[in-house]
Amino acid sequence: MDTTMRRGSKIILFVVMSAIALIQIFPLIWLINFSFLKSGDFFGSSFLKWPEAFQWKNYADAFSNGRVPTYFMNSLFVTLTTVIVSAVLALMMSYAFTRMNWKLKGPTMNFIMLGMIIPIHATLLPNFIMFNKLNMLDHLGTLIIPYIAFSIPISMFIMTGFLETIPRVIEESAIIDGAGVFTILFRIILPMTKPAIATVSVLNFITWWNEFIMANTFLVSEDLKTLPFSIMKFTGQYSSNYGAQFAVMTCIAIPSILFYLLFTEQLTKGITAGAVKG
Amino acid sequence: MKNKKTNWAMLLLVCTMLFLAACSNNGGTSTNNGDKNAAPTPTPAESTTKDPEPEQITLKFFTALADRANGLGKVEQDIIDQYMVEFPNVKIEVEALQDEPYKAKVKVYSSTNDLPDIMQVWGQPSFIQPLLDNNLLASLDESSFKDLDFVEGSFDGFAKDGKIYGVPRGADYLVLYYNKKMFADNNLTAPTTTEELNNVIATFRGKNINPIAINGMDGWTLPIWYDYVLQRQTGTFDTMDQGLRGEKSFTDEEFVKGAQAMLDFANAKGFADGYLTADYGAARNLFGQEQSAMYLMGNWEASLATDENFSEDFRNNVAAVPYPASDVAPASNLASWYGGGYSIAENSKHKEEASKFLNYMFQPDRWAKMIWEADAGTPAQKFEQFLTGNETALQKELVQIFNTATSSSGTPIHDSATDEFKQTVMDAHQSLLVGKITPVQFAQALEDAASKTR
Repeated sequence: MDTTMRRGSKIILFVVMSAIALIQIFPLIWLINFSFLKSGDFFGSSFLKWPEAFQWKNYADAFSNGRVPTYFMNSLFVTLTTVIVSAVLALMMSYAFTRMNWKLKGPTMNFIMLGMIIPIHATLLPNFIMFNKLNMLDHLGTLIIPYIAFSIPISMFIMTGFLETIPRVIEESAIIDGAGVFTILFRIILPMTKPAIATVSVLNFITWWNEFIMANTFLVSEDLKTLPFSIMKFTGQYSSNYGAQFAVMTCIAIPSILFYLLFTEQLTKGITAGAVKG
Repeated sequence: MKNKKTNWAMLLLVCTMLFLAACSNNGGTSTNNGDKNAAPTPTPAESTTKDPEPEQITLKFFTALADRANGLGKVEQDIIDQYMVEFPNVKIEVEALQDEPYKAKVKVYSSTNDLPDIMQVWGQPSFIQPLLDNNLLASLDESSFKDLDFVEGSFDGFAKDGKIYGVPRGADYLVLYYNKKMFADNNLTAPTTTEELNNVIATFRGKNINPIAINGMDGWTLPIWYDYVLQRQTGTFDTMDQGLRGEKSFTDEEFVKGAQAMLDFANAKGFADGYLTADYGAARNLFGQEQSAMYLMGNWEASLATDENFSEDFRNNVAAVPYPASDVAPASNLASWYGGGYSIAENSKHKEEASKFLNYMFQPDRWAKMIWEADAGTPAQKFEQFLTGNETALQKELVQIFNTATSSSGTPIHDSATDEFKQTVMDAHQSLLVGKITPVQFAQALEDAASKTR
């Protein structure tokens, strides 16, 4: 009796979970399905249309006219640089804010956290003028610098929360063993904060991988553009190559999904660790 | 232990990716000089044999034709490439963005007083007025464009105080496309009067067929349609202009009557189901998939007859007629306007070179001929001499409609003032058609918006 009930509930759980998984995966299937359709097939009467003939041409167009390979590498370079630099900076700063005592610590922390409420759009023009005066426009650096700046507040928010949960006793014993600040930070704190680092990295990756407005404002050269520009290559004022757009979107989605899958375990740890603090 | 290993592997992976990315990026920037946009063209160094003296000039060219491989964008790029081959001392750097990002970036450029040498403009106050008011555009020498066969009046939108500040590139007008086969199957002929149009709609609705596809969500076709509806009632396109200038009030009876007619038409289900949530592509595909019998759209859709995304059956059956006539207004009264064009920045260091390029571009056998052959729209220049006789039936019908036009609406109402006005006008139309506001309130909304701009 007991075992059949348990088996029954297991089956129900499995069915429910499968349904949820299907709902989660469906948009992805949709995306890939659409990337093989002719532009004329879109917005038809059927919801999910199986292509009569797979339009591999969409991908060929994406790679040649849409310049996906070049833009992909640009995006990867910008995003990974941002993710790594902001993770390191956020870790170091968070350590300084949670473990060290210094004058104006509180106000400085608040000042940095204020960054979270600044909308990107408000910074476009001032940044453009500044970069223009410094003759720095049209360079990937003009993206990386503001991206890092916008990443730091939210990264620190997560990181400081996580650091509070680490007992100070560990560091005390490290000091007794003769460790300096950097040894403590990189050999003791860094391995312990991995879940938090994974969390902020995934968050930042997804945010900046899809960023368009700043890239649109600061970049001019074709060779420097990032992936979202590829989609634009297939939309005219009065025309759209939907098939190729979906092919580009599939290419854009894959790295985000991979990145998420790679770090998903750490990610849940990072978020829950912050949640059950204290 | 195992966990530690995978972590290191991950770190290594990330580092390798970063390294690869950095390498490829360097490769990209170092070859930045060549315009790799289109087919490879000889680099200046290779083709300078005859005339090495003129100084090297770089012109920045900013356009809203983001697609460089098809249609207008391709023609534009082809002319640019051709120019750089003929004049090796001139390098033209193209920056191409889509409409909305384009408009956003123009604002950024103008606020730093740093507009590109040559840029696309729309000869409509909602776009060009702020640029003119701040003296950001250079005035052009009208005489140098005199012999290029531009259609009369096409420069009007680009002029201020008797000087011209831009060159028009295309003529746009709104027609009614229809599917001949769907009409024949239902024993119908293309509507020539508004009354016939209503009958056609009733028949199609009776057979559960969508009558007219339109991109109601985008909002901009609706005010042009209002212009038509109003004109067919009053007999003149001036009514709208008078309203805009304040010589009439939008709350006057005729405007309300026009709005009522639109509402009646919508209530009679003249438009396809869900037309207010359909964007451009959705409306176009609805028509192309033969799920609607008609399509209210601009002349630039001539390529419907050749678009291989749609069935051959459809391509052979697509045709166009002018918007149906009324008792007081013939079908030759056309809602038409001159939209896009090019201007030169007042701050440009190479104004002369830039204007030389525009002159080159608009030589009749270039822009006008090339866009006609590419089936990418109707040029703002006379192009009869380029008709080969091999045009599609649809193209011929469109030329016929344009050439027999007896009056033109000019800039559509929503583009006739500020950006904010445009949004208000488009919203008002949508609200009217969903029944959120009455025709009287609609008229009042237009009046309020217009009075702010007068």
